Formats: sequence, structure tokens, C-alpha cells
Amino acid sequence: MKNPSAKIKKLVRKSRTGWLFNLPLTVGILLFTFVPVIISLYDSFFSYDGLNERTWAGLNNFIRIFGGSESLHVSGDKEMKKIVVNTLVYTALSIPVNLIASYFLALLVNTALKGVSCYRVIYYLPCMIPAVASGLLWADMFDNTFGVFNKLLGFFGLGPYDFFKNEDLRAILSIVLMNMWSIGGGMILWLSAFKNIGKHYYEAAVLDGANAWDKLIHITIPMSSAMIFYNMIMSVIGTLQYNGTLTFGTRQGRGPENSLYMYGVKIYYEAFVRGKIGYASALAWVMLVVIAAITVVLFRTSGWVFYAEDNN
Amino acid sequence: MKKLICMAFALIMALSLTACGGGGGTSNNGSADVTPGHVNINLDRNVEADISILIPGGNSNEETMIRALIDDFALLYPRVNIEINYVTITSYESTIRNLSRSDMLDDIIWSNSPDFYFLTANNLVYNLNPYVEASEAAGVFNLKEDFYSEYFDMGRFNDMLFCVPRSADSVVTFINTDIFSKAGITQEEIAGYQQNGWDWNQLLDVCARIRKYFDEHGQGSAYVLDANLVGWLSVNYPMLLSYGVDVVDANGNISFDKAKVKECLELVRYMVEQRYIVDSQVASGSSFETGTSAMLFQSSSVSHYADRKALENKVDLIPFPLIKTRNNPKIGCGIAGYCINKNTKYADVCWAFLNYMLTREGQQAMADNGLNLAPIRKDLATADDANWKKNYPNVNMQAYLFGSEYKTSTDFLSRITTSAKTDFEQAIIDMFASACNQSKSIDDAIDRCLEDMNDALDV
Repeated sequence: MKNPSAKIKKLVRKSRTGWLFNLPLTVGILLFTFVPVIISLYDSFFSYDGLNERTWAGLNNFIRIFGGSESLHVSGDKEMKKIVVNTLVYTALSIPVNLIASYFLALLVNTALKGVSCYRVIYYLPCMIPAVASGLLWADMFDNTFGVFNKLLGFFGLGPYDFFKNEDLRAILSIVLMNMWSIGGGMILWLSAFKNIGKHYYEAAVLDGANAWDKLIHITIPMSSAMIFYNMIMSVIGTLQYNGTLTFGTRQGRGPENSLYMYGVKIYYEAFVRGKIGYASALAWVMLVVIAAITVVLFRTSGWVFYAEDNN
Repeated sequence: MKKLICMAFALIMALSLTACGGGGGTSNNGSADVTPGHVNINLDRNVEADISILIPGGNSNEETMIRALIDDFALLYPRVNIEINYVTITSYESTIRNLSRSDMLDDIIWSNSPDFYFLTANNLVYNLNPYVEASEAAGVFNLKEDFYSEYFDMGRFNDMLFCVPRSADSVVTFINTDIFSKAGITQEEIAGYQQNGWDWNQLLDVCARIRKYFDEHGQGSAYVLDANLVGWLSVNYPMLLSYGVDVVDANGNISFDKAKVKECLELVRYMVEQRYIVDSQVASGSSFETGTSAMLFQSSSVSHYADRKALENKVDLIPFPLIKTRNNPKIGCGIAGYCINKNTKYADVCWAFLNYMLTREGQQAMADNGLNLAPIRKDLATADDANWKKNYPNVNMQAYLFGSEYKTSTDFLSRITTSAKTDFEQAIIDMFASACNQSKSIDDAIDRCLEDMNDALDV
């Protein structure tokens, strides 16, 4: 067997230019992503406020996340229960609603209708608004007094409705509603998947007497399952880390009675408001492990996904 | 290889478990190495230095008056260059933390009462006692005689002065004279309140009369008083103190007397029920700024309101109403001023700048450029040529200076760990918000506040 280092040397020599082009990005990722990630792992074992000396905390930060331990004299984090419930509810609602809504929007604009490109642009435009601006915009639109939604409700003799300012899970429902605004981003991905489905499948189906519904169920959905799977994984990762409420939620993104308090906000709040960098790092690593575990489960159960290469 | 990894992992876990129980938060102790070893208050006119000053962003008054000071200071020390940087008040601590970690914290740092304790707890700023002592010895000033020294006391921690106040900030009652007059509150009554102060019963009486006027004139949705109870400790903490309640005792333990807190919150709820103050969950377009509310508790410069089109020639000031129920009335006030970064290379130059800010000329320059708050110097309080009130001859500017014996800051924050500070503030604000919006009973609101404060300490 050949020496592996000689193999690497040969590989580098063979594509030196490519490696040189790649170098800035590699160095950047190492310095600005990999190193901070390792530092955060290190910090997670300390009590550290970002200014004073680190104090060794062992597993205290992790024990605190998982309810504490009387025998070890580590108290549990009483906020965690609410945060986990909020995050799971948001994830459970947001992912299917967004995936399905954007999928059907993509189906609607995947037709030969005249001027359909304009619709695609219009639906995608909200995704171009920066998240902060969008958050503030929605805070205004959901405002109790001047918000357009409450004006509409008022027109029908309803409301005012508190939206983000609700003290219960209805606050999270408001975010799910708000997210519908940006389903154009998902729509673009679905469209790209639809474009890759060969027309001959549909032509053959028409010859067999298939109607639109049959084509959707038996061709479009199975043939875009790879994209469904990709979108699902990316949504899970993004949704579990969601911290958008920082821009519009009251009480520094936590909402009244912590109704908007989710895991991503918790990490921010511990690190930058309470100044507990060590604890926030531990929270981030727990999240990483959870996301990794979910991703593994999704991959392990991805037998339903059809990849084009499978056909070859 | 597998064995090696397993052993290494086991070692880490063992070490971690052994160390369980260790750790701790940042206590609000401060340390001794913040006192400058040698100070020089007689700088050479040609001293050279490039320093920077951190001021709150989005506050045009603060910026213009600091720029005016910088311009004047440049005449005294032409080779000192001062650059202005900005900090957002809502992210003050994280900004300071990041700047400090990257050695980019400015030489002079703006601070206020709640945030000041973050700087001292983390030993980020100099103890300015040696400069004050040197200045007094040289006859530059006499702190107790020349200044409202209670504001300097608010800038102290463990008897060390860390923050120099730039003005004497105090909560006052802004009133809309137009609404007062229409509601039948006479000029004589207002003058009486301005002269002798007023108490909460008189406030309630005025509220009732204005409410009646609003209701009789189709302004049912307007509110009488913007009491600033759901976002600002400078109103609700003095209210609690007036009822004999302190948040924490001298040892930093929570010392809520639930019965007294309840009494205080019942007053708030009564005012909500009478529609004097807004239910914080009910939509209302009424506000003092827009001229649709009659009163406001605030400590801002008068120009911030009096210069608004909707309030032109309609703004006057009355002191904060005293709650005399338990003979312990309090008026909220606080320090807004500047500290010197402990790591600055130019501490003497920074002090020279702060010292200039305290001079008559410095205070006048600031007042001429947006600072319409009471000066920190006693000699400017009533002086005819004092700039701080010259643009508002018809406004009772003395309200800011009323009742120095009642003044109190949110000093309980100095007695708790810094990591618990935000949660304590939030817990109290949430409690008052609950009293204002009737979402829960007063007992539940107090219990929730206690629970939140205990959680904040329970780390």
C-alpha cells in the first residue's frame, strides 16, 4: 500500500492552483469558524463572563441544562422547560406549514401561465428584505393600535388581537403566520426541483390517462423527494436555532411570560445579556448534538427519498 | 486507537465530575487595582494625546453637547484629539464587554445608574478619588460645596468615585398646560405645586379632573398620565421605597415585604381602573409627545418635549409627586456621566476633560448645546445667566432640583451579582406591568416577581 502522505503530496502537486484559490476560504473557515467552535467547547466547561478569568465548572453547565443535581449542588435552569416546549411547538408547526405552503406555491407558479415570472418575482421579493427590517415591519403590522391586521380585524368587529404580545402559544402561532411571508425562498428551491423532472414522465402519464392529481402524487412528489428531504433537514436546523424574535419580541425577544422564548434566543440572552458565555456555550453544544442526532435519524429513515442517480 | 480515545474521553469526564460544584459568577465586589498610582492635574498645555469617548448613540443632545465640550477643550489643549464613538443603551453591557475583550474600549465611557455597576463589578474603570482629592487640594473645586454631591455619591462604589455626573438628572412631572387649563386646573394651583411640590393625593385629584374633562369632551381613549411604569425603574423603584419596600437588603438578599408591595401595586391598579394611566395591554394612541396625554414622568431634557410641534408653548414642569403614606417619600434620580477606562494610556488627559465638563464654562457650553437638565454645579442652579434654562423662561426648570432629600437612585443593583441585574430589573418591571394590565392578580404578580428574582440569584 502506498504511503498516504505521498498520496496527499501528489494530490496537492497535481492541483496546486486549485488549492491556492481554495486557501483563503479554508484559512477563513478554520480561523473564524473552526477555532471559535473549539473555543466554545472549551468555554462550556467554565464559568466565564467574557471579561474575567474563567473558573472551572466541570459539567456544571450541562447538568444545569438538564435539570440540575441536588447531590452535586447544581441547580437546574427553570427556564428550560418553557424554552424546550416553545422550540418544539414552533418547530412542529413551522416546518410542515412552510414546506407545504411553499410547495404548493411552487406548483402554482410552475405553469405556463402568461406573466407567471412576475408572480415568481413578487413571491420571492419578501425574502430580499433583511431579517431585521422584516421583523420591525411585522412588529408594526401586528401592533395592537396601528397594525394593519388589527385594523382589518376591527373592520369585522373583531380584536384587537395581541399577536406577538400574547402570553401563551398564540404568540408562536403569530411567528408561523409571519413566516408565510417568506415562503418564496422555499418556492425557488421547489421550482428548481420541478424543472429537473423529465417531461417524458408527464407525457407518459397523460397517455395512461393520468389527471393532474395523479401526476402530482405519482410523479411530482416522488421525483422531488430529494429536494423535500433537503428542505426538511435545512428547515429543522434553521428552525431549532431560530432567534428572530430578538428583533421584534418584547422583553429582549422573550415575549410576555416568555411566550416567545426559544432555544436560539436563550443562547443569545445567556451570552450577551446575562454575560454567561460558558453556560451559553454549553447550551450551543447541546443544541449541536440534538440537531446532529435529528439529522442522523432523518438520514437513517430516508428510504423514501428518490435520487435521480438511482435510476441509472 | 479506539481504546486511546475512550481513555481520553473517560479522563475528561472524570476530571469534569471531580470538578463539579466548582465555578461561580461575577460578584459585584470590585477590586483594589483600579486606583491610579500617580495623578497629574496640571497638564502641560501642549500635551499630546489621541483619546476617544463613548457616548450613547441616537441621542443627538448628548452628541452635540459633547462636541461642544470637545471644541472648547481643544482651545485649552490643542494637541489633544478626541474622537466620538457610540454605544447603544439597550446593548450596553455586551458592547462594553466586546470592546474590552478586544482592547478597544474607549478612554472615556458614558454610563448611567443601572449600567454603572457593570463597569465597577468588572473593574473596567478608574477610581477617581485621587483626582478629586488632588483637585480639592489644589483649590480647583470643593466637591461638597460646589456641586450637588448626592449625584457624585451615585457614581461611587465601595467609597470610590468611578463616574462623574454631567448633570443632575431627576424624574419630574411634565405637564401639558393646555390640557390642564381646559380641565380647570388653575395657574395658581400649578404654581403651588411648583413651589411646594405635591403629593400623590393631589396628583390623583388632578387626574380625576382631567379624566372628567376628557370624558366630557369626546376624548375617552385619551389617558391622563404616562407614568412610565412598565419600562423604567426610576419611577417604580422610588414608589416601592416610598411604601417602605426595598428590593434587596444590605447583604444582597431579597427583602420584599409582600404586604407593602401589594399596597403600592393596588395604587397602580386603582389608577388603571380609573383610566388615569393606560392598561398596558389595551391599545391607546394617547401619549404626552403627541399632546394627547396631560402628564408624563420623565427625566429627559425639557427640549425633548417642549420643542415638539404638538407641545409648543404647552409644556411646564412640576416635581415628582411624593407618596407620603409611610412618611418615606422618594423621587427617582440617577447618575448620567462619564468614567475613565482603567486601561487608558491617557488617564490624566481624560480627567482634564471631565474636569472641564464640571467647570462653569463646561456646564454652560453643554447647556448651550442641548443639555436642558439641571446643572451639576450649585452656582448655576439659580444664576440669571445660566444657559440651562435660558431657552425656556416660562418653564419651571427648578423642578429638576426639587427635594434633594428625597432623591434616590436604583442603588439596590449594586448589591446583587451583575448577571442577575437584568433579570431583577425585568422582574420588577413585569410586576408593575401586571398591575397595569390586570392580566393576573396582584398577589400572583408579586409571587411571580419574587420567583423571577430568586431564579436570577439561583445560579
